[in-house]
Amino acid sequence: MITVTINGRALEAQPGMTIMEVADKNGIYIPRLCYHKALSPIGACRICVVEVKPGPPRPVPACTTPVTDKMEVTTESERLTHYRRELLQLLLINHPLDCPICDKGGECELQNLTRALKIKEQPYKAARLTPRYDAQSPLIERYPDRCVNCERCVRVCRDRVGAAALYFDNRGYRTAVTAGGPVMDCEFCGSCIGVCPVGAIIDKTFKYSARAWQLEKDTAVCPYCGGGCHLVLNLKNGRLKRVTTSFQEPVNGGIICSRGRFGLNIVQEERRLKEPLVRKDGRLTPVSWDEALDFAATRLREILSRFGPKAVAGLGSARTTNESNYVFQKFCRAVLGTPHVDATTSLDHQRMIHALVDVLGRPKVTYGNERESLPRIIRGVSGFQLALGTYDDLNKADTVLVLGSDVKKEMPPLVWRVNEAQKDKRLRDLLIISSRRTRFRSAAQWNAYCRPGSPGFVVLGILKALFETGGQRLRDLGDFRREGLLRRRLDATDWALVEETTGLDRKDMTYAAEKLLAAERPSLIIGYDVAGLADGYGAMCYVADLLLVLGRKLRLHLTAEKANTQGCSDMGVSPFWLPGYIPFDEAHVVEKLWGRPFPKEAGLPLGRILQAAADGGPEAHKALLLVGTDLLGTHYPRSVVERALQNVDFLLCQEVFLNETAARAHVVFPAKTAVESQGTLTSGELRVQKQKARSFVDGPWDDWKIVQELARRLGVDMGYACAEDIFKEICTLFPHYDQYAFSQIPHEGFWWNRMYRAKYGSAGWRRVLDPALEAVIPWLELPAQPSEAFPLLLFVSRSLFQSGTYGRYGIGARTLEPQGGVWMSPEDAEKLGMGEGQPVVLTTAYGTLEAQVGIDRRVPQGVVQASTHFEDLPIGRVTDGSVLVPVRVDKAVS
Amino acid sequence: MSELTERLILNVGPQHPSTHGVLRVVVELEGEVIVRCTPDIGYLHRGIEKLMESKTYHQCLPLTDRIDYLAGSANNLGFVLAVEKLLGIEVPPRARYLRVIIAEMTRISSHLFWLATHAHDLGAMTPLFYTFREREQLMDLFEAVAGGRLFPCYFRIGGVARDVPDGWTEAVRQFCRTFPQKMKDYETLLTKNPIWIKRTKGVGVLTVDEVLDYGLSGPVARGSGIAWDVRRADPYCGYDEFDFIVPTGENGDTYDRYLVRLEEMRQSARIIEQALDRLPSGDIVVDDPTVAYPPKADVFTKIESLIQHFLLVEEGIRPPKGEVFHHTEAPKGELGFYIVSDGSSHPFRVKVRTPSFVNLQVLSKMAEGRLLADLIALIGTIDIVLADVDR
Repeated sequence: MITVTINGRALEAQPGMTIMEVADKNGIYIPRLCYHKALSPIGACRICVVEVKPGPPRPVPACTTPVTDKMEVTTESERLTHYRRELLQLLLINHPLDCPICDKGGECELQNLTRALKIKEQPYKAARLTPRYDAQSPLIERYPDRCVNCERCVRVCRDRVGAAALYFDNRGYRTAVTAGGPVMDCEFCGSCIGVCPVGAIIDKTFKYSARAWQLEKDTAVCPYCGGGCHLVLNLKNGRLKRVTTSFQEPVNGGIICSRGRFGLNIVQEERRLKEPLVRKDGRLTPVSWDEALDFAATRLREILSRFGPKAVAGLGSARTTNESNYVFQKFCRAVLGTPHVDATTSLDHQRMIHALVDVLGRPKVTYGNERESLPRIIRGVSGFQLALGTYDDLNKADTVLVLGSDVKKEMPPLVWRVNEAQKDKRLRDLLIISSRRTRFRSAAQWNAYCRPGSPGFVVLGILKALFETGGQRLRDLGDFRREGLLRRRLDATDWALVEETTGLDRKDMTYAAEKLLAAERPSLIIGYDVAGLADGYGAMCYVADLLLVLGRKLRLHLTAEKANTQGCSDMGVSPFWLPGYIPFDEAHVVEKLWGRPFPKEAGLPLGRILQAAADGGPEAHKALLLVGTDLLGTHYPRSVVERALQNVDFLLCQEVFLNETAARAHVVFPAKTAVESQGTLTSGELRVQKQKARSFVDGPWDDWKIVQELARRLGVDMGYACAEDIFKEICTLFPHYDQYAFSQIPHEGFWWNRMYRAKYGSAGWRRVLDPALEAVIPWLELPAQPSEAFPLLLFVSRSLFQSGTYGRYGIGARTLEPQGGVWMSPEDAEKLGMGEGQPVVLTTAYGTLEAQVGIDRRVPQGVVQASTHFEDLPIGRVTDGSVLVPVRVDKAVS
Repeated sequence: MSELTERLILNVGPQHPSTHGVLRVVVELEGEVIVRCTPDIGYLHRGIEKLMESKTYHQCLPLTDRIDYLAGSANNLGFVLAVEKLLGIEVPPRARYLRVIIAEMTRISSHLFWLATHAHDLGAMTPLFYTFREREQLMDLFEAVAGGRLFPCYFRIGGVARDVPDGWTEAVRQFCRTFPQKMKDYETLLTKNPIWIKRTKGVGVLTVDEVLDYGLSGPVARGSGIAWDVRRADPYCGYDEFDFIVPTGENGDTYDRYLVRLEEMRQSARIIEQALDRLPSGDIVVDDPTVAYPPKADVFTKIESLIQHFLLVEEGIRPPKGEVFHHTEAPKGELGFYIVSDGSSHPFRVKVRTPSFVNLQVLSKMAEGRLLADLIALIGTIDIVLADVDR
């Protein structure tokens, strides 16, 4: 700790802090233009000059000058004001007279500085440069003549977002920000709009629609991916005009992605469902809520009495709140009496959680006193959640291994945190082992390409390498209670097989193992390329063992595709466990609370529900209840889904838009989106955040309210008045959520795996992983291989611009990726004699799909990438529900 | 109770020309004698103080015109001086002098109107035609300099809106030169007119103590011999640089107040002449781009002026946190503006101490025990404007 004097005030500071940081921390304002606290300082504008003693006789920039002990700093003096005024006058020389039409007018830092420095005139003249306006790029417009060359956009794009889509061109007076071409080639996250101090980069969708001072700001949790970012909704007269974010946000720190910034228009889309629809004479007809609810209740009662409760299956949603999911599964289990509750997360994320629960144990709290007596004394907490890390862990990590994930598309905040750690030079090694070539790869210190579908074997290889080379270092670190079990599997798989399957060299895996072992704070990011495999569960079991072996040091980060993917599993929307991961042999606890009996057995997973319904046997399901689930938009085998939807007697949908699936329903209820529905959302880092109630259109109801009304018509009063009641009930079942009263959940939420921090202080309870010693690790299946008939591999990929089917209605997704695409590498295309846009037929063992092929050099050879969640590219026609399928590509015969 | 002593309750107003606006006076009469009279106010309440809370300081300015609509510029002056005090700025000398000229012209205009209506109420219609002739000249002069007649809104925070047009000072000088002669005409009609004297002498007598107890100000106070004039007692706008007399009465009756007001008009004309003689050249607004609007021509051609203009319009002036009170001598008495600033561009609270509101209180005191006919003279002598009472 050193002492610095600023304007006569003695202040304490850490060595290494800059003058600007010390001043900001103590509320002393130094004028600035290029400095931004989220970015590394460059000292370009020199507006922040201060006088320093001891130091050079000239003023020095506060943003780049580190403080030294006993330094005396003066931030305001006549000389400094004179300097600042001169500098600003130079910037104003050819600034266009755009304020009245410029979006930034009213929140422009150049305007504010001009005012603060009381500039009345500027005596200089300079040749006017011809600005290269960019009006062609989608979503973003650039006005180079308004630019003040502060480099913030370049820095945020390069250092925080990691896209490096903007850079400086030319030198001196002609310096200009450029995108390298007429149209920006970037991720369209719009972070450059957020940092631009002037109106040089603006939001095209917002342009001319409102002025800065007319907007009301409202902070919401993003409804798209599981990142849990905070968005600031800018409203004018209740209409959403644009989405921004704040650099004060603890979750995303001022960066949001394209979905968040350009996708929220879905809430006020014209096409949004506003009235319940009931199928009458084969057509969906708008009816009143009462009529639709009565209709649904009558049909459900019929089916229950004719076929019994097990003929009904319910699918919850990763799109809706914890409260809605909880009420929905309670409705299915306790009101309808069916064990068949699942969600589309069973395609991917739920598999990861399932494996972790099986190997590392479910979240459990052991109490020192009787369960009923309050306050409870906690003795210990155990469960898989203790191995999961938060974003902040990622920020502090010195080694990050990314395995089987296209992180940027699955959950962008993870990438931003890694970039931040890179920028601040905390991160030593970023290792990426992937079957894709993503932009993120260029940020890594070490890259390895593994064959599609082989990440499970990579983990196995790393484990093998750890046991071989780890020695005592490893022994001191990990938990070896499962060693015997694990060894049997590892020893039986020899290196040759691992190398052949993964396409990696043995020493690559040894290198990764060594890095993880040597690291102080390693992090592991696992994504949907692991989870989405048919064998995702098996692969995750090995990941769980890797976590055990590397002890509490290693932090696991899972990507989550949707806003409440994690919460959906937490709330028991899964056939394998009850809310709070309570197993069925402890179901009596739940039964006691609910006061109603329910089937105490595992239900069928979604795949088998659909198969059974499609096959139409005696066990077939006759009614499907879909909450925010667009089955036809996923990569579930489409023939099965179509037949299932055809065969069921009753299909109920709670939806935001009338998508393909809802269009086949018998009754459709308009539901609120995750931004509007009051309740909690659990992000991929287990952060439970509260969403405020909002309303952009009249009509839609909260999902849980629809379910409750339905239950009432079936003779059961669930008795919830608001989301708070439901949250209270969740807390009794799942004590990890019981950290705050609903109304007191802080702005930044809380991590449910960091239990009782707030409520119980640092009590002396133990946090331990409680591995299931008996849980058998399955043998890994060999990944799907190309064959004579199907020489290529179809690899399902996700979009950067939407994270599920309702994201398609976002303006960003509509503009940037209006249609699903199929891409192959130039080499493969040449081999097959295909060019860009060639109509092709994809053939797999499951069916055929017509598409146009795109050529992308980032696609590895031998792989065809195709995107999911697009209506015009029904990928389910050629997949079996796994992300990897052997495929043949033929030219389409016209 | 006999029929003779039965009290009659009579509503004078609210729609009655002699109430000088929408004032309702509930009069309890015993015969023709007023037993009690209660002014009922509020018919013209427009919530100006509240409105100001949602406006920028510059936007508040046109509202002040409408407080005492017979003396728009006097209200403007009170407000801009209060804001300037809050900001701690001083306006350039030329602006200061122009303000004095306009403020004194406003005083004459207001008094002329008072004279016209007061006399008319008491049955003398002729003065109205003469005074309105001169008042019209003043209105034309306001129009020439500001564009507006009744509501000139010529003053700005930091100075005045624009410089006076060519020939304007000459026109004002001409007015001042001829005005004393016109005053004589009015006096010929009234001062020694026996009816006028009968109706005003000894009517509505206020003692010094009463004036002080009721907190009266302006000509109403001076008529009772209290030489309290804010221009002299607490000079602002450089009034201490001018030579003028603060006229006072002796008896504190309606007639004395009449004489005081007449003399005030002469003194105002004197002040205007002095100001014109010494009118300095130079800037008309303060040299601070965060307060004063840049010239319009620059806004279209220079980015720095455009920015300053944009922010002044969009956001407005941001005075420091604090509270301020400033009082001025408006034609009808002491006008005070109390402004609380929370540091934002809108006033947190504005309280206007208007002379009419305070002075009206004394009406019941003066009217009790007098004839109903005197009530009309008394309303006139207080010189109220209901917009000023209700705000």
